[in-house]
Amino acid sequence: MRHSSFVSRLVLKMANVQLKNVVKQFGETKVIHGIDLDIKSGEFVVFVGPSGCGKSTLLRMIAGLESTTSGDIIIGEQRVNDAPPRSRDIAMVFQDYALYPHKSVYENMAFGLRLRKTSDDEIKRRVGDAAAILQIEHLLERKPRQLSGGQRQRVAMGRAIVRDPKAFLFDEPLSNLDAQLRNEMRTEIKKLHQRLGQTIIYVTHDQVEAMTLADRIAVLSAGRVIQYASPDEIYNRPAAKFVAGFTGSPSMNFASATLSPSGDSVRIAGIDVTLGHARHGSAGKPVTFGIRPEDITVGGTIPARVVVLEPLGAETLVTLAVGDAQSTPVEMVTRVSPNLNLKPGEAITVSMNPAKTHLFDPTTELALTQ
Amino acid sequence: MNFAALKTKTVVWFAALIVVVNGFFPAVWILFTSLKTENELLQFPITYIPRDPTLVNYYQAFTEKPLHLFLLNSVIVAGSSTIITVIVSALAAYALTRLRMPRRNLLMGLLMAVAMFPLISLIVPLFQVMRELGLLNTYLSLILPYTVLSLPVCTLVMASFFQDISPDLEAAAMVDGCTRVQALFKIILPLAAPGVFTAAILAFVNAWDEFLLALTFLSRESMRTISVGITLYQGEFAFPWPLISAALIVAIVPVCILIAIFQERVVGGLTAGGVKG
Repeated sequence: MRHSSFVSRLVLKMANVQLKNVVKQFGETKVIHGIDLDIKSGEFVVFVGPSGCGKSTLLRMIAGLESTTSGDIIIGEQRVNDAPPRSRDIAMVFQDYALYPHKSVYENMAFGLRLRKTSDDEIKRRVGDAAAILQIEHLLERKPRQLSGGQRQRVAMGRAIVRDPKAFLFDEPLSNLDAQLRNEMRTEIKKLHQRLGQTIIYVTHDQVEAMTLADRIAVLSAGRVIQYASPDEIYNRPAAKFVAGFTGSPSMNFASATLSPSGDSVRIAGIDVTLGHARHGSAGKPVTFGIRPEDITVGGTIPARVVVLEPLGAETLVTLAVGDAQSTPVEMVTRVSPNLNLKPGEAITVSMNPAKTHLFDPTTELALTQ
Repeated sequence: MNFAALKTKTVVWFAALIVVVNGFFPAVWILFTSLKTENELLQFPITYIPRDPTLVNYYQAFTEKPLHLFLLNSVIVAGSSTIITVIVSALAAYALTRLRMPRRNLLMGLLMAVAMFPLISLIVPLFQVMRELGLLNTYLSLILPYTVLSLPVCTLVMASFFQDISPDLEAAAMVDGCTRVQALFKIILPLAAPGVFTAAILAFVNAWDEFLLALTFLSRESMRTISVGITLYQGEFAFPWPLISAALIVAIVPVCILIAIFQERVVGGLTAGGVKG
């Protein structure tokens, strides 16, 4: 009951976040190149990309911790470019937790409320509610140095949720945790979003986090959004080779290929692979072919040789040399059942699911759809 | 313990002993002298420990000259300049460590250069400035230069402490609702407490001990600070060592108390646990 009243209060304040042609320049160096994004109220959006792609800078610009060179940042209905962080009504969870070491857990969580002149009774109630949600009630009197990494991360989240902000910003919050704890906390964050339903912008370089948490993912590279779509679309219909290669583990297999004159198949290492649909626009031209490991299955007409086996327990990753005897083979990875009992060097045949094949322009690296 | 370790330990202890004796011997000698009578002091062979310890020199130190006024003046001058120094150098150190600043190293270098100025070279221009401003024989004539003279070192001391504090902490504070200056005073300064107290002690001791400016700018006896006031005990032909020693001990005690109080705070470790270490 206690939680539900807290949650109902929170739901009232959530807001959408809009970025319009946002640019960030440090001196002469442009790090964010005119980004447009529309984050709906209550949506969980993940900014994902490799180190140095500008995702954290973009988040800090939304928070007001970095100035915006040009463009508009709108939270709710308000343009906040010139507003300091305290006036934006957002909460942020930092990669290194950023808990105030000289304050107790309770005081860490109460700090933002005290600054807003919230009454002591209200502070007590809100901190109590948030602590109950995050199961950290027994830690309230402790200092941050007396907590484990996972507990500190919960406190950092608690500090964010007591504030009842318009949006939550998470800056790689799990990257300092070990693998098992990271998985647990990932689930916790997802549960928290399902329970609170608030707008969350979450930065990570981990594509698994992005895929599992997000309603929509913005894939960034070199200060630009390459694709902004649902995890399903990002995975199954990547807009560019970069997106295709960044998502999935192992990542998509790529090979240089030539599109047939009819545009409905490609020639790779001396073999023809049928496509799901024809690309007449690029017929006869060189292309980059892509297929995910799970879309290559053992058995079929395409000759291949087993190069390396990597058993993972539930499945085995197999690196294959695909191609006919006269051509230089192309290495591709597939997932197979561990029961298949393949041997390195063994000659096999495989098939590739035509509906799951992808083509990219070798120059622009954008997906070829027509 | 093997021989090499024993040898190292002995050398370290010996070195420490030299430092401690060198530091404490003059103070202890002054303390003993202040407890002796003039007659005992002039006796030969000399007595190291006072034979008949007396506090009469302390009584005389306060009655012959307004030692309490000298103390009060010093407390006002050193205390005020310390407070101003700590506030201004905290802001300066914060700017130097956190803001994106062109030519930061040049600024740091200039600060160091200012700290190197010999005081004697500043006396004449400072005197003229104080006279023009009508500040001679006021506390401000010492508070202002002491603040300026302590600023470079205090700024550098605090900057070195600020550098070790994660910028995410003040980012978190600003997101929580602080202004940048509030974040500095509510979050960063408490965490840099060892640096703040170190800077404060440096500024206080500098101001407390300073003689040249105090002698030049404050000529009225009631405005004298302790460092100058002590010299007033000597006469044209007399040099009352026990009396001067008593006044010296009175001058040393406040600094010792201050350092004793803040010594624990100067020991670091407060920042542990705030961020992923």
